[in-house]
Amino acid sequence: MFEVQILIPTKSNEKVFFSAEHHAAFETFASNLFGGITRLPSAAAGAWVDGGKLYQDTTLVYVVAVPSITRGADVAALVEFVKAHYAQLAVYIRYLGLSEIL
Amino acid sequence: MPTHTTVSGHAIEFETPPPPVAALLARLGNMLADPAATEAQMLVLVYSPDNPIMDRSVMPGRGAVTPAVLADPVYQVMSDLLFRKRVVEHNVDLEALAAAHSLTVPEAAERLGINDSAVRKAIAARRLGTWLKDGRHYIDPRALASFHLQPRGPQPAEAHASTAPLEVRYGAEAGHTLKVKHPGELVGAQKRTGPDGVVYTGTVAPWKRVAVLTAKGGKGRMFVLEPADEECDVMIGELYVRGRFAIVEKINNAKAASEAWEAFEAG
Repeated sequence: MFEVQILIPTKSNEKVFFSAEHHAAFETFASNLFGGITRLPSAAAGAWVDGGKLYQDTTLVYVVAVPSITRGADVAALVEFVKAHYAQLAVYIRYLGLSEIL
Repeated sequence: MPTHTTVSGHAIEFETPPPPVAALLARLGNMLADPAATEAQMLVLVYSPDNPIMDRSVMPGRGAVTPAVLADPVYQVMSDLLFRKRVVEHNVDLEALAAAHSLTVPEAAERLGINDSAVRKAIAARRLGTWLKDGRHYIDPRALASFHLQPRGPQPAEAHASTAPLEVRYGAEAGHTLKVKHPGELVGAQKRTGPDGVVYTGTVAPWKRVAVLTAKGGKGRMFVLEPADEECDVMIGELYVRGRFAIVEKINNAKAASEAWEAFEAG
């Protein structure tokens, strides 16, 4: 089992915050997929550049436990859900000491 | 029964919590009111394995939110308290956020290409968040983009129909009401007409998923049952559902229970 951290924005690109219920829908999806989800106490003010564009946001850090590397497709499904749910072009994840922008 | 109203206007009723949970709720409330306390500090408490409502088995060393925790109204209260702190810390424009929830249920259903009951089902299952305005659900259009991606990944093991019968006694009696949504016909049905209404007794089998709606004095609750190994019952007055099942979902708010009842499909 290994943990995957996924950074979630607190507001949209139009600077409108997402409601607690909007995040609850993400939690519902993730907990159904992986059995559970939790948050880390680091609402990180992060910034990164991708494709020449600067992304800067205040984010929430969620964590899921992935039972095996064979569940990699489910991590991809989670990322696709986050992109759609939060209208994001890129999603930042961390796992096993690595980072990826997907 | 305590009630908490969220920023988005939802009234959450919950059973009087045990002392450790009540103490944590009180502490979170105090931190919300304390300008020196931060959302991050409150979050540590909520998602800690020491939070009695969190699951400690999914992620060793961490408090995890499982589907069961999500269904717990106390977790919904804690989530709202965290969000309220974020509102304060980041000067969240609540008017703008409420205005962003612009779609009615029929409008959302039309955009999604599904019927209203499917939208209400998603709302009851917390797959679609809403903002309550004058008692009506309004949906943020941003939430629709991910709707058809649910569910994804490995599905839960196919629910096998249980042949162990549910014993039911439902109807209206002595100010109590109990309704059951079940597949098929009631087996061995007997009907008795009393001063308050009709009461039915019988058994339900086979079944995979059943909903029970109880009401007394205007207060309604809904339970979703699935087959399990343990004997269990749902009772109100002399009305009951008995058998081998687990309560997989419980809605204590009368309005939410009524909406979920309308959307429920037995199997």
